[in-house]
Amino acid sequence: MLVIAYLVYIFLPIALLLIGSFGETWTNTFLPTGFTLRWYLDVWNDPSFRRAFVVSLEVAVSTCVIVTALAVPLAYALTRSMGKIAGLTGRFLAIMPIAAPPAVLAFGYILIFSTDAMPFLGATWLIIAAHVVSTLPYMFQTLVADIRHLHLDRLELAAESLGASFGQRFFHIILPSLQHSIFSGLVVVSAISIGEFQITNLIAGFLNRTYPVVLLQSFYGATGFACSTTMVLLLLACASAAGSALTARSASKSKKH
Amino acid sequence: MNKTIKILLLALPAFAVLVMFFLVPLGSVLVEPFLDKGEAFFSLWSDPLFLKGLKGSTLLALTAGALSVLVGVPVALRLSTMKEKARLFAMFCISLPLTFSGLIVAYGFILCFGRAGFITLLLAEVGVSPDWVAGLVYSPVGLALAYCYYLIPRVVLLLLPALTNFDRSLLVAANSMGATRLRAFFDVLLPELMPTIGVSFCLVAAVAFGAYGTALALVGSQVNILPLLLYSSISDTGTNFSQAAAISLVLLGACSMIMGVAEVIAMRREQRLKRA
Repeated sequence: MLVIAYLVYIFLPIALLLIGSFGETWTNTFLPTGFTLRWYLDVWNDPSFRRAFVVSLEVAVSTCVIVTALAVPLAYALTRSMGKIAGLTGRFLAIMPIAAPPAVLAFGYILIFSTDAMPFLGATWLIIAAHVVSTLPYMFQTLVADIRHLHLDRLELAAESLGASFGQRFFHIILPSLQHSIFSGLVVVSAISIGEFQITNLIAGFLNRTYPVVLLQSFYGATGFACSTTMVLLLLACASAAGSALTARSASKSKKH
Repeated sequence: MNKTIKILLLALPAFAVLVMFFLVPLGSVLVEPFLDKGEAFFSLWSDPLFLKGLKGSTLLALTAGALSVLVGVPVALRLSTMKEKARLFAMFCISLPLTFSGLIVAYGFILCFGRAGFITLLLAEVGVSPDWVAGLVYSPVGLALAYCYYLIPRVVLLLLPALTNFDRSLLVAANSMGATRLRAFFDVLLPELMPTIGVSFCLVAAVAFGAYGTALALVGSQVNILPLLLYSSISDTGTNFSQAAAISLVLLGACSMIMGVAEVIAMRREQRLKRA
């Protein structure tokens, strides 16, 4: 009963967004009247939404690549040794995304990257950097949990005693063992990156605004248009959630075998 | 090459990025208020707008924390007793909002509770004034209701492992010795869960204290909370950097402090588990 009531609370807003995006007019009634695909066509034909969508994908993909390249060696190094530093870094990474509010971090970017020495504010790569920093902790935690769970250190020790070089161990043991957690980490990373609004809104230039930043403008217009633009973002989020559920399932299956 | 140095090299790129794009920007925010010898920082405390914002944010953080825990605990309890398949499905649905942008939540709430929202109109049928509902939703307490949408899943996800690790035979023992189910819950299970509940309350309160996205989309920059005050002093015309830096300092301090409390609770629990 309780769980069902809670599920209604979760799904009512989503259902209304979905219905609203197909409704012709919706003013002061329970539900919209008329059925139309017009709003989705409007989104499709809107150049600023199209550009924002492309920018968002570019940023998300770049963020995924960079975060993986940074987080895998980091998680490996910190679980392998470095005692106290490792513990402190782990704690720091766990707290940092929440202890530093996004608006404060964005303000820091404005202060530092609009100076003469570093005039980078408004560049797309700076948005990517901000997304990398805010998603790295999640990837790191997923990886560390998996490394501990799989006892990779024992496997590696075995390989080392048989004469495997570091490169061989890294590419033939570490990476293949971690592929599931890398993937499920990437799902979270891409979901956060695609939905990120609070930092990007303050540091993006006019031409490289991401989808959520442009989305906010549509809230002040027609209800149907706002619903369909929001639905696009919602569908992307649902796709990534489904992706994570599927990997979790295949991962648990492959571990059972 | 020395082995430790080799491993250190692997961590170096990530450290460099974190320093350049996290610590340095935050450091510059921290330094800024000292450039005018703290003048902007001290004048903040006599600024009625700031004080109102501080009050609003505190209220928002406490309400969001309390609401998320009040809903999250029973939901997690119910989930922990469900069959695996049903639980996995419910978990999928519940963690869905975690991947949502705050903007989706904001517009979904406008459709539900706005002046012409679905729930607002439904309540109007039974005689609740739409103005009252909309007024509530656009206040800090109402914002907490919207924030809960993606905060409750965090609480549930934190609580579930603690609940599944809990030895249920303790409850059975309490029952067999004559304790009612309610009594067993309050005397046996709740004390065991308290540290985790404390940690999730802090986490959720800190997020609610520092976020501005959902609030901006729901009410514009009119509502009095600190992150929105910071947002308008950065982005509006007539940018006021020294005021922005002073507000940032307060925000950063408050959120770090709340997270610090969470860390202390978590560490104490770990030590207790180690001793046991």
